[in-house]
Amino acid sequence: MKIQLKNQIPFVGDDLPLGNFIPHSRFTRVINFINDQSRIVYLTSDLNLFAANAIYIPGTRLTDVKSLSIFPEKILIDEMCFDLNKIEIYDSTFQYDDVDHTAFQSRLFQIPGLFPELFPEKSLVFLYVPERENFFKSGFDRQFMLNALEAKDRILSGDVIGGILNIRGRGYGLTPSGDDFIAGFLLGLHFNEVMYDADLSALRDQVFVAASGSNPLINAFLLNAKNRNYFRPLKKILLLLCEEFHAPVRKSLEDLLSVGSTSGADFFSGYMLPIKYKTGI
Amino acid sequence: MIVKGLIKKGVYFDSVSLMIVSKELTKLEGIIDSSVIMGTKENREILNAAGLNLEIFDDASDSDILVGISAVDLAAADRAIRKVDLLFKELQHHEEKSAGQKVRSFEDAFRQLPGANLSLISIAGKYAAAEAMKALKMGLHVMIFSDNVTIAEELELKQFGRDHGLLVMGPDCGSAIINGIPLGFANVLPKGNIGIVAASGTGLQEVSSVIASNGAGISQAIGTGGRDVRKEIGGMMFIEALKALNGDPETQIIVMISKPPDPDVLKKIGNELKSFTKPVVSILLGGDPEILKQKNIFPARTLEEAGLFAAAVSKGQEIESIKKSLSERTAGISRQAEKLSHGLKGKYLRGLFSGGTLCDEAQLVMKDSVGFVYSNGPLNADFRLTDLWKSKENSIIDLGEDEFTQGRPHPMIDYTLRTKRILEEVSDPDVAVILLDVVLGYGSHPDPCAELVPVILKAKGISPRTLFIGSLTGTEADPQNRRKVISELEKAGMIIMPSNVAASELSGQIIRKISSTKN
Repeated sequence: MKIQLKNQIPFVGDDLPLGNFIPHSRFTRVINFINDQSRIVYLTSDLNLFAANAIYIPGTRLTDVKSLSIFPEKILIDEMCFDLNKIEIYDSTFQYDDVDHTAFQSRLFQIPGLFPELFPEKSLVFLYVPERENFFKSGFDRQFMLNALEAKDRILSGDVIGGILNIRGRGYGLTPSGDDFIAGFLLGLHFNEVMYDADLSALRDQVFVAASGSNPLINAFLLNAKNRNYFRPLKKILLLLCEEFHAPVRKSLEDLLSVGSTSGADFFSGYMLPIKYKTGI
Repeated sequence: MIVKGLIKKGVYFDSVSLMIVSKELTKLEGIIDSSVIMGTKENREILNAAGLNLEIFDDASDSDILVGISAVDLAAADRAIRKVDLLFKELQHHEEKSAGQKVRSFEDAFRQLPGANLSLISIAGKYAAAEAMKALKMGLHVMIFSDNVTIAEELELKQFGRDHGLLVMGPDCGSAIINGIPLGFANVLPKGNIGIVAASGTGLQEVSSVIASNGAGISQAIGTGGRDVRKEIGGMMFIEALKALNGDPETQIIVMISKPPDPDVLKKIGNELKSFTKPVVSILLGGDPEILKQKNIFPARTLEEAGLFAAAVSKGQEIESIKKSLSERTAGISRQAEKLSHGLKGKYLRGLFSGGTLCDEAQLVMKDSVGFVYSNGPLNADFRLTDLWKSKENSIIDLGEDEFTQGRPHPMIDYTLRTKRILEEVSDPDVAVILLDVVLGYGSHPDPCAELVPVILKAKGISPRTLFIGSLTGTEADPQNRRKVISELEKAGMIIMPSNVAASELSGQIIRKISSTKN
């Protein structure tokens, strides 16, 4: 008897692709699975890494899991079967409903006050705080930084896709910093759509197409953002910002920033940019 | 300057690892610059601009890892290249090692060991329920070693556990073995096809040790805490554990151990067992063994009998031969008692137990030979000791009860109270027999002989004719080594019987024979 798994899935993401999956890559807290359509679903034991295409299984040794199949009404993990009708589904949408958008925005813009203290040195925060360019010293660093600054300039000048192409696939990490930034950027565009009552779906599609590549992990991350499926740690921050800027915001921000070495920070930097500069409006 | 590099295909490391490796490479002597990045076309362009690109990188895909190094000379570059795999391995090792580091909170622990699926809670009782609920909400099974959890809290935890497919073992669950991992007080047992559900910690240990001594093994041993079979809890986890074992392909025989459950609970258990096809050995200590009469249920009268039955069924043997040999042994014990009773000065028995269920079982055995005995947990309320610190006539004390353990470790760990009490008892000229249990295994005293041998020798100096009789709960594989402990205790003059029942039978028979002689 494996004293594990049985009914142990507190919730699953609301955008799980169907099919039979095989392991793609394994980490301590995540195992990525891929299907024959190159769609990614990941099992995670860490709620802080949760998203629309994730399955949260806290009580399981992930290294032991070998197979995953997702059907319309059930999930099979190895030989264990879970009824999707009995599992809580994570709502990855965020509508900014009942929110004073201006107040929300002004609270959001208080977060840069925490950049020096909380955000990692090698993150894209230098796009907002020029002094942080000094952290980029190696040849790769300097070149990456120049590309990112050029990308920002292009986006601000209205050449959004040119900017995206200038930052995509670039930087450190399993999902390069630039791709994390673009995922955040797509969700930032969503805020602008709500705030200014604009339809930016075409722009979101173009950004997604420009940014997608051959890495299925990155594509999955970008697809979630394009579809306005919010990464759980970001959604937590935004929900708190709907009320006020207070201590829990900082705690949730720390949770987001603990994702990867700079991933969380790059993602948040990307989210801020279109809001700050009214991209697409 | 020279530039060298390599591509790592088909492996994935998180961004933290990639950055650490890059930083460590740059620290090496003779290294000017390094980058460890994913092999996207764009990153290759950056490498090119940074002077770190190599032709071999042209074949890389987005999912490959590129390691680019610039060094003062070829030797330095080669040293760095050779170091790359080592650095990645060290990172993995560090990650595994950090899982065992000290943590400050439950959440820290869970982060360090995200694959964990069971939490063992052993803290002050008033905090235990809250921590247990936290663990359950994180999807972990729970074993609550702590006592002093209220029955209302226990009910809430177990309802939540049942509704979420999680085990809640305890509160006051002293022993369990889950997926081969001993939890709390537990013995080193061979792997086998017998699954145990027990509402009794030392009952679980005694039965499983008997099973091991008789050549069989354990698949799972699930404790529930003694209160689980009470009316208020309704046998919730006892039944869930039985169901889990029934569905477990590695379990072929089930043993259930408990004091007699509440009648309604027993009925529920009986109803559940009706659908079982696996053989079930039941020991409802002190209850009617025939109460769960059913084709696949083998009722036992004692813990030892339960262990022997289970081992026999596991090996495809008939249990009738077990019954016969136990009956023959009882006759032999009677003859042994006859011999030992000659020349004894005292007339009473004093049992000093560390295991609660073993204490209960001894009283039950004694009931048949000398009648009810005085105790802090008597079978008959009229025989409750008014002063726990002073025995009366025939007395059997459970030194593991709350009144003795407040502010001090359990007597299976700390023998101080028991050794002191032994010397007090032998100073009473009316005492003929001292009956003891010695529980071995993880969690118990690592060297019980170091405590007991000197005190037995000293006691024999005070009262040379007092008999010391006892049994060991444990196995040869336990850290203390059963055989070694038996040998040392026998050298000190203690009579070691094969089980708690046998030791109790011998003690009871001796007292009965003394009593009949003196009458």
